[in-house]
Order: sequence, then C-alpha cells, then structure tokens
Amino acid sequence: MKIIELRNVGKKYYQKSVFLSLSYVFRAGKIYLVVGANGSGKTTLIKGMLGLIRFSEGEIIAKPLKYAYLPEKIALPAAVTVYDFLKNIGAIKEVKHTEQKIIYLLRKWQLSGIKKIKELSKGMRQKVLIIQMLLSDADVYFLDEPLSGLDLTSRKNFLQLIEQLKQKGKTLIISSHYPNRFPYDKVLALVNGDMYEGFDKMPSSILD
Amino acid sequence: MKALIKCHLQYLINKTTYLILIAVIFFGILMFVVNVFSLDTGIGYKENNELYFQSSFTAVKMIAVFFSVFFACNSFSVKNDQYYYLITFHVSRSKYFVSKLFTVLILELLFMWILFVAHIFIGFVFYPKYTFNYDILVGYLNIWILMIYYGLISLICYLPIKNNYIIIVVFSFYILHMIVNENGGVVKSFINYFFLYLTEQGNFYYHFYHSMLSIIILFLLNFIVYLYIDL
Repeated sequence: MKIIELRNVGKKYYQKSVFLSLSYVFRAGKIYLVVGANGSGKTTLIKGMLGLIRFSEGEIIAKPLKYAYLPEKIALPAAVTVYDFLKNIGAIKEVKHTEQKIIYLLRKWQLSGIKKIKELSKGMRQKVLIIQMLLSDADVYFLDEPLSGLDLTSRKNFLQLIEQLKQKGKTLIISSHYPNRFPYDKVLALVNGDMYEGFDKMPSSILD
Repeated sequence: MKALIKCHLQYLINKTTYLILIAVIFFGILMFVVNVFSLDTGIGYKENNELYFQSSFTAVKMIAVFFSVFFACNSFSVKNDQYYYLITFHVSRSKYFVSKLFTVLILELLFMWILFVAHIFIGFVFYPKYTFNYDILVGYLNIWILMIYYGLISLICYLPIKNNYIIIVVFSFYILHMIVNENGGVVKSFINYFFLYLTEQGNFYYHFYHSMLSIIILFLLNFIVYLYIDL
C-alpha cells in the first residue's frame, strides 16, 4: 500500500539547490534507510515529507495516517523535569493513560523522571526524544539520526525497538550517516542532489 | 489548549528571558527612583505628579519596546521554536502560532503590570503627596499595546531570516521614530500614520482604533508568513 508519494520534489535555498526532481513511492510496513553525506539533504527530505518545510517544486501525496517524528537535534526546556515535560507532550498528543505509559518507558530506557532536563547528557536527552515519539501510537515513524549520542546498550535497545515496530507492520523512514548500523528493506542514497535506490552510487567514504 | 500553552511557557521562560527581564525591570525601577528623587519641591504636587509620570513614562516606553522586540524574536528563534517538530501531527501550525503569540502577549502584560506596580509603589513610598490617577493605568495599558505592535513588527522582519540583528534594527528604528516625533513637523504626522506613536501624555498619536487596525493587519501578515516559512 502506498503511503507517501514524492512527485518530482526539489528544494532550493535561495539559488542553491539541495536536490531536484526526486520521485519515489514509500509503501507501508517497510523500513527505508535514507543515507548520504553531510548536507546531502536527508533532513530536508524528511522535513519536507512532514510538511515542516516546503518543497520548492513538485508535490507530495501522503495518506492520512498517524505519523511520529524523532528529530535529529532539538532544544528541550532546561528547567523542567523529564516527567513534567513528557506528561505535557502526552497531554498535547492526547495520549490515553499517559502517566502509566511514561513510567513504563522511563523504566525501559533507564531514565529518571525527576531529573531536570538541564542535568541530562546528550544521550539522555536523545532518550527523552525517543520516549516522546513512542508516547503516541503511529503508523509511520520518521527517525532522523536516531542513534545520535546513545551508548551501546541504548543502541541495542533502539535496534530492538526498530525490529518490534517492523513486526507490528509499521513503516520506518530512517535517516543516517551510518548505513551499516540499521536493518532495512530499501536504501535510498542521496548523492549530488539525486536519489538512488541501493548503495551503487554511494561514495565509498560513506559506506566505510 | 492548556497543555499547549504550558508547553510554550516551558520553552519561553528560560534563562535568557529571565536575565533580560531582571535587567530590564531593575533598570525601570532605577529610573522610577531617580525620577521621584528629582521632583522639584518648588512646584505644586499636581505638577510634580505629572512630572513623575511623564519622565517615567518615556523611560518605560523605551524599556517596554526593547523587551517586546527581544522577547518576540527570542520566542520564535530556531532554538525556541523547534519543539513544534514534536507535536506537528497533533497541533496545526496556525493553532500553534496563535497560541504561542497569545502566550507571549500575556507574559508581556505581566511584565507591564510589574512595572506599573513598581511605578505606583515607588511614587507612594518616596513622594508623600503622590496621588494615583486613572490615566496612569491607561498609559501603561497603551504601552502594552505598543509592545504588541513592536513585537509584531520585529517578528515579521525576524521570521523569514531568523537573524538576531533584527532586534537591534527594530529597536534602533523605534529610537529614530522617537527622535522624529520630538523634532519633526509634517513628517511625523505622516510617519505616525504607518508606525504607532505614544505621546508623553500616554495616548496614541492617532485614534485608538487606528492602533487596533495596525495591530490586526500586522498579526494577519505574521500569521500568513508563519504558515509559509520553513520551520
């Protein structure tokens, strides 16, 4: 089943184009791995699919499903406790049984809810973002550099999570500099403003 | 809506905002104290009351405009606006923008209230013949409207480019506008038609409805820009 279709989408910042005329169909229940060098447009592509930025050309057709997003880096409110922050995000997302869910996820990801966010390390903040993403059940997950800052144990947990989501029939669109770290069904390589399926046109420096 | 506003508050009330707020309020209180001690004993209490209000009012206007320009830009800076990513599928961009702007305006009203109370309190404490006048309250509410106006002006310049220099540019423009109003003749009537100006008596140069209309137009422009910019 088609969930998102890109039709000749392109993005320009002033006169500089990030990518041009990309077309692709994302289907349900698969893991897509979007790879590319720094500045190749991975985050831009994801943000465009989410409607956070506007493509300069082309169109995007998306099914009205439930989406979730794990951004690469985002500021969190420093003076608030982890629990309060998550509880509030849960309330905005209208999550049922928010408190139980938060407690369960905090335990699973070994994070203290009473700590203020300013006391957290980079990896711990990434866990907060992962938990907020998992609060609401979604059909499609957009994960932008999801392993950023995570230690080895948390990485393993995260890869298990990806497997679990896959088994539940969810669609995952993962962007990463490191293609070897993730399971996937399809690889989309962004190279010099074009998108290719597979690793054939990827520079070896990225694959290493 | 309550949770969304709470989320805005969690982000907007941060260390930078606190520091600027404390500095600005401290400066305001200092100005009140200086003004109350420089009252002329040779003139009547009514004149002294008016002098205290007018000299404080000019300082408060400047402080308030600076704070509103800073606060509006800081609230929509990349760092303080990215949390929309987390709730993008649950809250529309228009609802997010309107609720955030509403939160900013309420915080600015609170800021104005603090200065108003400080103005009255210092007047009563340091000048025995101080009398409260209803016009003082109206004047402060008008400053709040001026804050909204300059906040929206700075925001419309800031949103497309997200550059902090906009704070300096807009504030400098306000200073220039004040200078023009002190010296200009026909020019000021023309400029004040497009840019709101509060007189020393605490009233708008043109009718109150003119101010409201200017704010509504600016709000709509900001709203449209926000719907189309890249977040």
